Amino acid sequence: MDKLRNLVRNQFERDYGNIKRVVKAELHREFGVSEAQRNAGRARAFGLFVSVVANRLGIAPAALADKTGMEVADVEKLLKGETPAEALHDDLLVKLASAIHYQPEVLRIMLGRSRDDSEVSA
Amino acid sequence: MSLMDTAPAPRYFDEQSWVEKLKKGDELAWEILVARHAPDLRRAIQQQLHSNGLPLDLLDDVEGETWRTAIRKMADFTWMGDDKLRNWLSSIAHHHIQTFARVDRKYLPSMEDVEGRNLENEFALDLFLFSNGLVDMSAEDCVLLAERLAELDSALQALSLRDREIFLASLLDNVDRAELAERYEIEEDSVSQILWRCKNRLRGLLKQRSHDEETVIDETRRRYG
Repeated sequence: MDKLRNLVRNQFERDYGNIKRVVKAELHREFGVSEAQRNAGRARAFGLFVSVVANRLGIAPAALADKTGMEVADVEKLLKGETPAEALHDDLLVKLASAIHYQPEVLRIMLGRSRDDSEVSA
Repeated sequence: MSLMDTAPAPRYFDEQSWVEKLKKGDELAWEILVARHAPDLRRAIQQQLHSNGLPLDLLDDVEGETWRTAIRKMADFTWMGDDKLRNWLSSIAHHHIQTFARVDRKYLPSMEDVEGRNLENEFALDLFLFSNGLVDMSAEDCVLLAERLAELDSALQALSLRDREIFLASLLDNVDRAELAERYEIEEDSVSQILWRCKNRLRGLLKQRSHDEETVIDETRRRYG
C-alpha cells in the first residue's frame, strides 16, 4: 500500500511539481515571506552572486579580502553564502561592489534593501 | 504533512474553513487545492486550447497564469461547492485563453519563442524562490542557484546601470511598474519598455546558453558515439 502511495505521489510530483512551485511563489508574492526567511535566502544568494562574479573576474578570495579589508576566512564564508544578512552592512557592500565592478545599489537590491535603509545604516 | 496525505479530502474535511484558509494564503490549503483540481483544470485547458485552435505549447503559460490569478482573486470567491470551484478555475483559464487567442491573431509564436519564454519563466521563478529563502538548499540546489546567478550576472552585464536596478527590482521583489516609475522618475511606459528590453536580452542569453550546451552534447556524442 505504501509502495502504491509513493508511486502515486511521485507521479503527481512529476506532473504537477512545477504548478506547486508556481503557486508557492505567487503565495509568497501576494502574502509575503517571513523577514528572517527572506533575509537568510537573500544573504545566501548574495554571497554566491559575489562568488560567481569574482570567479568571472579572476579575483581570488585573498585579493577580495585585500580590496575589502576583510579576513580571508570571512571572505571564504561570504563566498559560500554563509554570512548572515545582518553582518553585510552598507560600508561592506560599497567595498564589495567596487571590488566586483558593480554599483552598490544592485547589491542592496539583491539583499532586499531600499536606498532609505542604506542611508540609515551608513 | 505532505500533499498526497491530504488528498482526496477526508470525510470530516471542513470545506468552509478550508476556503477561509485559501483566502488567507495558507500553503497547505493551496496544496490541497492543487491536488484536488490541477488534473481537471489541465484537461479543461487542453480542451479549450484545442477548441480555440491554439497550440498545446501554451498549456504551461495558461496553467501558470490561471493559478496566479486564482490566488489573487480568491478573496472574492464565495464557496458554493466543489463544482462551482472547478467552474471558477476553468473560467479563469478561459479568460487567459481568450487573451492568448487575441494576441495569437496578431502574432503566432514560433516553437523557438515558446521555448525561450519557458526558459525565462523558469529562470525568474527559480531565482525568486532561492533568493527569498523558499527552497531548502541541497547540494544540487546550490549548484542550480550558482548557475542562475551566473546567468543573472551575464544578463546584468548587458544592461545600463539604471536598467540593471529596474530589472533586478522587478525580478527579485516583483516591484510594480508604477512604483519603479516613481522611484526612477520616468514614465510607466518607459519602465515597461526597459523591462521588455531586459527580458529580451535575458531570453537571448538563455537561448544562446541552451544552444551552446546542446552543441557540446552533440559534439561529445559525435566524438565518442
